[in-house]
Amino acid sequence: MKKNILIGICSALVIGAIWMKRDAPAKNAPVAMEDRAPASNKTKSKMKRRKYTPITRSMKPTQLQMAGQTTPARGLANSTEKATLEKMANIVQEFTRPNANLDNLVSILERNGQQPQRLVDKNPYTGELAIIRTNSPLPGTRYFHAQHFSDAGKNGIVQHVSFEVQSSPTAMAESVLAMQDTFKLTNPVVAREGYVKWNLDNHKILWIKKLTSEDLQLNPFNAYTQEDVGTIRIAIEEEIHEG
Amino acid sequence: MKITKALLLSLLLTAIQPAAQAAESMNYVWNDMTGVQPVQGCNVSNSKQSLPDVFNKYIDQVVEIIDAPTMTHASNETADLRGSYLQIATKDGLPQVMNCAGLAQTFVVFDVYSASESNNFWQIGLSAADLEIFHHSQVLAPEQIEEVYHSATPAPIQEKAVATSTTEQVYCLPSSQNNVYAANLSSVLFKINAHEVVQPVQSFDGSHQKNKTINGKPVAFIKILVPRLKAGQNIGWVAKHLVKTSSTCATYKPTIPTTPTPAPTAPKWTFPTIKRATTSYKSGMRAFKASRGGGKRWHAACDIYRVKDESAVSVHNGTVVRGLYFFYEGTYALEVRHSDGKIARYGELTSKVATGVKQGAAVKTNQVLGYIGKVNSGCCQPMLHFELYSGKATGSLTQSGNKFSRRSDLIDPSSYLTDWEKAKFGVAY
Repeated sequence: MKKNILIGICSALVIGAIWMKRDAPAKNAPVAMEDRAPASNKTKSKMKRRKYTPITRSMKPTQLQMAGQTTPARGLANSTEKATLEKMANIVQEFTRPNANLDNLVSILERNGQQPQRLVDKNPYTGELAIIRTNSPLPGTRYFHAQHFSDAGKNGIVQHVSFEVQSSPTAMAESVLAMQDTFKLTNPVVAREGYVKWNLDNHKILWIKKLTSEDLQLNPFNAYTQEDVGTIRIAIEEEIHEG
Repeated sequence: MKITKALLLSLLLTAIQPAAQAAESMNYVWNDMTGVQPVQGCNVSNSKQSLPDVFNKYIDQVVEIIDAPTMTHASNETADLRGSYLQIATKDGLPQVMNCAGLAQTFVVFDVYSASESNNFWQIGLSAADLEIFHHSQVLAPEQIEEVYHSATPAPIQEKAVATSTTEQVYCLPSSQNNVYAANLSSVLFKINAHEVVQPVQSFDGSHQKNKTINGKPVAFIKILVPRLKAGQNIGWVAKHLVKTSSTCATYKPTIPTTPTPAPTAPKWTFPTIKRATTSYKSGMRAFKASRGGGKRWHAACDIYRVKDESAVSVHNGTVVRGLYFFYEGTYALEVRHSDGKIARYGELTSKVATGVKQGAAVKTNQVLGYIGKVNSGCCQPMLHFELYSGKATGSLTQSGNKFSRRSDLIDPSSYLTDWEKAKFGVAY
């Protein structure tokens, strides 16, 4: 009898440990800069320590809330939002494929009825930058923007592609889930309130940010008012830094 | 993350000290990123006319404060400006001035880059009565601060025209007074100039476009924002067909800012930040060719760690061949072809456009090109990501085919930066 109780306790401990490990940050989870770098006393006193909580595909609602996201409601009201996000996630995924052809990418947007506009900026010294924007974004999204650098004899590189999602209590969480599903993402390299970032293949990164007042200032491409605070931007870019 | 002028100024208004002055009798205001209590009765505007004449000589200059009395704020906090750099704050290319109810003097808003702490950018308002602060200072005009960098005489280069930005959108009518309408498409909200730069506003529900029947024909209207105008009074409706990119607007004639022809001296080069990097740009992850992606990729630049919103300056005379574009995690980049043919990409800047810097504009050594930004992830300190190319290749700077993902004429900027750093600051990493 005592032996059975002991086995039971041990089993519970092992299962518990496995469960806790599943939820724990990955070994390579990021450490806040403040945790790494020494700072002067005066600077330290001004700093707010930030908590990085990785979001995982297996995350439960409570964990999403801990990471600063609101649990997405899966009701009828959000079905359009979800479908739009999935569609946009698939479109931006096409833009990030190696050797993606620019004409084909533009035609994807045309087929979706988004009325893409191709603006070409060309000079003799640094070549051609094509900027693709859409005039008729899908409902709930806006400011699609892709930057494609030409590469003589090749298909070029989509260096940046982004779009925005309308602010709502569930927008951040829905955006995270849509990107996780489409890109088969696991642990992000950064996850904190209002910001999540993953490394993708092909030296690219994907980030999702809840835009703050600061983010809206002086944007050379997009027009904003203060009412746009809280808008979600989803972007994929060529990687520059790690972490 | 970028703290823009507008935000800073709104914070600045929280720190005004219009009442009795400190013992030094300096009429000043100050603020740091932490913000303090609001004070009513002051307004900030951007106007060259309102700038007191005595401040004219500081326009577009960076001033190093060598010595100055410690100033005491009403809240008993002190500001020691010694060793700091001051630069007149601007918006839309115009100096920012502030007037407070009950005070006769006009305050000029200065950006302050503190030398004593890293990552500490703030602003101060100074009146003509405060000029004492400049008694022991040095105006860092390019001719005064840069040392001659003796480079090999470059081969003559055939100059080719650089178009102005073809992505910029303008209101394409030569008329000097154009109506911008309210949402009813009938009432006039405000006027805009011929070829005024505008930004189409997009809504999430398609409500940024609507039609109106004029003379029996439907005319599409779109919502626009006019960046030149004050927030809250800069959005309205115009006919869609009148908003075009500058390159497709037949009546648009670009005005490209030019700088005076430099004196016929030896080519001068300088370090691209106004103070030394806080950490070596030749070691660790900041170095050129530092490993990325587990060794699959190499770093194409030297990362010069500095202070957010601090000026990044041109290393040499040249022409802006590509204006600000999205670069990385909320930061921007621009490209300059320098007059010996080298090309530099100045990356991880904020979105704030420096005075006189636009595509096609001539820039001179040490001219402010932009402002140092910080990436969203907070992975690193604010920095200038500096890439250098010999100019012997053509095409986009970002390309596939090598571990840098860059054009084949990418060069290691480390030794150049070392020389420029020694010349500018007397020491180098």
